[in-house]
Amino acid sequence: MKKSIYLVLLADPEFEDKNLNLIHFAQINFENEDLNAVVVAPSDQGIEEKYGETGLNEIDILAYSQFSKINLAQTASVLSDYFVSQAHSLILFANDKGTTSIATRLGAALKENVITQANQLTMTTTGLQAQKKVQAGTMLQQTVLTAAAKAVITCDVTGINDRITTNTTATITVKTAGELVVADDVTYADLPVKANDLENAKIVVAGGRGMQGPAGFELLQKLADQLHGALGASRVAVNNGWVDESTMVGQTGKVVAPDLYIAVGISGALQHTVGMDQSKCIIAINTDPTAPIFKLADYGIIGDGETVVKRLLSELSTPVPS
Amino acid sequence: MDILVLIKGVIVPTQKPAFDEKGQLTAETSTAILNPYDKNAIEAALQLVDDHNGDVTVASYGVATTTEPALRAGLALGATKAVAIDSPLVATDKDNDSAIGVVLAEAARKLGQFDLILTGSQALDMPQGYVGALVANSLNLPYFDNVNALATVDDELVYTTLWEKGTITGKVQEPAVISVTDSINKPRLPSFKTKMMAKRAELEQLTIDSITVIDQSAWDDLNKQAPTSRLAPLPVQKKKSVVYQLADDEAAVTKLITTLKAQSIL
Ligand SMILES: Cc1cc2nc3c(=O)[nH]c(=O)nc-3n(C[C@H](O)[C@H](O)[C@H](O)COP(=O)(O)OP(=O)(O)OC[C@H]3O[C@@H](n4cnc5c(N)ncnc54)[C@H](O)[C@@H]3O)c2cc1C
Ligand SMILES: Nc1ncnc2c1ncn2[C@@H]1O[C@H](COP(=O)(O)O)[C@@H](O)[C@H]1O
Repeated sequence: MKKSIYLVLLADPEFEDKNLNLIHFAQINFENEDLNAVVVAPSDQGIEEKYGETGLNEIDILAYSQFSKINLAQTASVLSDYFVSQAHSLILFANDKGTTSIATRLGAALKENVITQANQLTMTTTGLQAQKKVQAGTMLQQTVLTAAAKAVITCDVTGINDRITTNTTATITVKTAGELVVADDVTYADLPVKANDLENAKIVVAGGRGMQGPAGFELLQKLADQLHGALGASRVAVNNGWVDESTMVGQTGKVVAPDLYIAVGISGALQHTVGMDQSKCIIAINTDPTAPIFKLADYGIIGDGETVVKRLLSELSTPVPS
Repeated sequence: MDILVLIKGVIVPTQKPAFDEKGQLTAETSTAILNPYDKNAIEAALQLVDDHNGDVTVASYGVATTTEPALRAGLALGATKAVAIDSPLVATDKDNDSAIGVVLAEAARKLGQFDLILTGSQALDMPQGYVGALVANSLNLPYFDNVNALATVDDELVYTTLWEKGTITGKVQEPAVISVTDSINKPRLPSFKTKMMAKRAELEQLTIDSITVIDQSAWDDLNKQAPTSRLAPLPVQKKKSVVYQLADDEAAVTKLITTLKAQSIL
């Protein structure tokens, strides 16, 4: 079955890493399909360099100076105008909060099926099967769309980090956006402190209730710094005010997939582990040998979090090269 | 200020879940509860009403066995009115998220004039985070999602949306649809008294037998394209963990570091 698949790429530094991950996700899932993209950007400058040779078939650039990542309603409306007159079957977005917000608005405007956080898409003879984690990450839901059905899908591209190598060149067309609706009247502020590091960090050092208090988190921060990693936390640690909310990992917090995740004093509740179970290597440090986190762990130490972290700090005091 | 909170009775698995031939949880191995994320939406509504007067209505679409526990839990938290919504227009053998969103929009219009319609950020059982967008679009209302703070500043309602790396702040133009995160507030606990009242309270019923909020052709299209879905257990990856005991092994940390370095993990 032939499908016309469109990836939506929003040209903003906040989304750009995941744009490339989305292209790769689509290539993994749709090996035999042409992949097209629509890039929404403030101007067409630099788009060809960025996406022209990433294996896409056709790229339409919707360039208009008012484009901004925070204009959710405006961007959704531009995309809806575009897709109303552009034959398509699947429209794929990456799974940032911002891109998801636009995807759901677009799906609602087009009145097409919406599936968020799909982690696998499979073309079948009768249509498309989309798979995602449901029930707080304990089960899989497999949704079957008929061949004629259209869908807007946000893809869970966490952990898809490979860069694409191809030698095809995309056909690029710059299109004018339709009449713009008024821009959203909003302001944007960066989150404080280290929040920005967490999602891209190669190493995450995370703590939970077992770290006992803010002092424990100072130790974890030191360890994170020493390993050139970022600090993460469980919800209990955040709720207790030991550490900033932006560090929370899990269903409500961030989803991360670093090379190494060190979980100290974290029990491994499902709502936490859905945010980190894709990590390449997991180390658990916990006093309780029956804590569920050990089921996920590649390595573990049964022992007091503070003691172990202090020893790690002293034994690693020759910094590892970054 | 009158607020409608859309709440879902979510079907959550018991300890030993089993699936029927359609790949759905069997009734014996699942229970319906109020979606925990919707408690935050109810709490946000109650706080706004405390400041501005008005009523909080909770409404839920579905079969009575799922809507009733959700609605009673909503009343126990302090909602003034609870409405169970149903519709013969929605096929039950399909996965009808989009149709349900439109039916909820239709219901909201029938239930009266609201200053705000609130939803939770996602359903715990089948998280989509989509219903709010559909309701807003169908009713032609502005939509604000992932809202992490709502505050009245100079008589205007200001919202903050939380993203991975930053926050968006703007004014809510009422009427509007808002989906709130579960970190916006700490939901109150029902008191014994409100629990007892909620147990006996009358639930209103609303049947949606025609759709006026969107075109008939769009409605037909949406139903024709509705997918089917089934659940499957998550395959468990068995990991061979290497676990050291600090209590009987003084060198546990050294050994761990040596192993990690040998594997080029550190
Ligand atoms: C709707 C919903 C959404 C949620 N979203 C999230 C989310 O995004 N992220 C999240 O993390 N949680 C989330 N939760 C909460 C989650 O269910 C757990 O409650 C939480 O993850 C537990 O945090 P914890 O592991 O720090 O605490 P606990 O479960 O209390 O575990 C503490 C662990 O520390 C160990 N310990 C105790 N003392 C020591 C010591 N001295 N040294 C070493 N170990 C020690 C204990 O053995 C225990 O295993 C959510 C819950 C709900 C209902
Ligand atoms: N059947 C329903 N009845 C009422 N509200 C619902 C229903 N399903 C979803 N919602 C609302 O929409 C939010 C998001 O749900 P979802 O889009 O299904 O993840 C929930 O938190 C509820 O507030």
